Amino acid sequence: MEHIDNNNLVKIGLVVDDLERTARTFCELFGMEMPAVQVPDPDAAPEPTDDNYTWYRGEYRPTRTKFANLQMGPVTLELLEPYDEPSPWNEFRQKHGQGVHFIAFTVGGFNRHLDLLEKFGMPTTHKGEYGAGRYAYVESEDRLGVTLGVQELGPRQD
Amino acid sequence: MDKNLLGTNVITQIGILVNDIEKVSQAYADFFGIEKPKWFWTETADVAQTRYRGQSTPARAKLAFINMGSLQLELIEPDREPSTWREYLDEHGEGPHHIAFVVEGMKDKVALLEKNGMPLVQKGEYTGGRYAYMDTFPQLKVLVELLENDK
Repeated sequence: MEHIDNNNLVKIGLVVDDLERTARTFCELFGMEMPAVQVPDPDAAPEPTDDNYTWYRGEYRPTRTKFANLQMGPVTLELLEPYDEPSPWNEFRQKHGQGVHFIAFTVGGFNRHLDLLEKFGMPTTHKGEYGAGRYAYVESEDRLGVTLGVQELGPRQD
Repeated sequence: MDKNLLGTNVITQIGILVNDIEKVSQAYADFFGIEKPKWFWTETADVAQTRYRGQSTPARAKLAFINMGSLQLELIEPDREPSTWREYLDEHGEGPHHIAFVVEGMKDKVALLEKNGMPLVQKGEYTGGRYAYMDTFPQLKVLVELLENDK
């Protein structure tokens, strides 16, 4: 049977209410440098283009979140503090509160993997493109007990 | 807070609570193209010596491990007895429960975390080592499990 091209878990996503505070606690507890916090413009939502868009539950729309990456051994822990607008992270927060939202894998062949996931009964809920890479989350909580994310880095592959 | 209390920042496991370990294991096996992992029961109370919120408990869980690169994904289906697994599953439903770190000097590490406001929730023994779940949720928004393996 066809399946995902690797099972190397590279990222764990953690949705929080106060990114700076939680990040600082992680850094103190685990002896790490405070990461750079990426903050989208709260007032301006970018127009979607081929190289920069977010798509969530059927429409192109801004799905903004603050985020920061903590390197914890080979795995990246991504802290996310979503804005109060529809997005996968805000959906998670409203449903579950703060906590671990997703596990993610880097794949080659973004669309091929999304088609495959769909065949496994895990349709795409969100995808985003930022030029140097693209990522998506699928509806997998019922099947896998957690949201699955896939990302492709570099040029778009088939 | 004391700095770098644990002496490590390498996540070795992510633990996910499920209601039906057979079904979920099969879904992982199908999608990841791997053998379905065989689940097993945690040790019986006499061996596991499980303590949950300061009291002895006969709680057990079915566990299945899947290698996912640098870490393991652990599926956990708890029985009905009192445990952090059962409590969390009843409160939150299926989903991620903890991230785990291998430490040395379990007693000292537990004491350090407790001193810093992260109390022990549950501990127990397994063949070759022991574990402790610390209530780090208020600070980290996820529970931390400490693992110590016998040398």
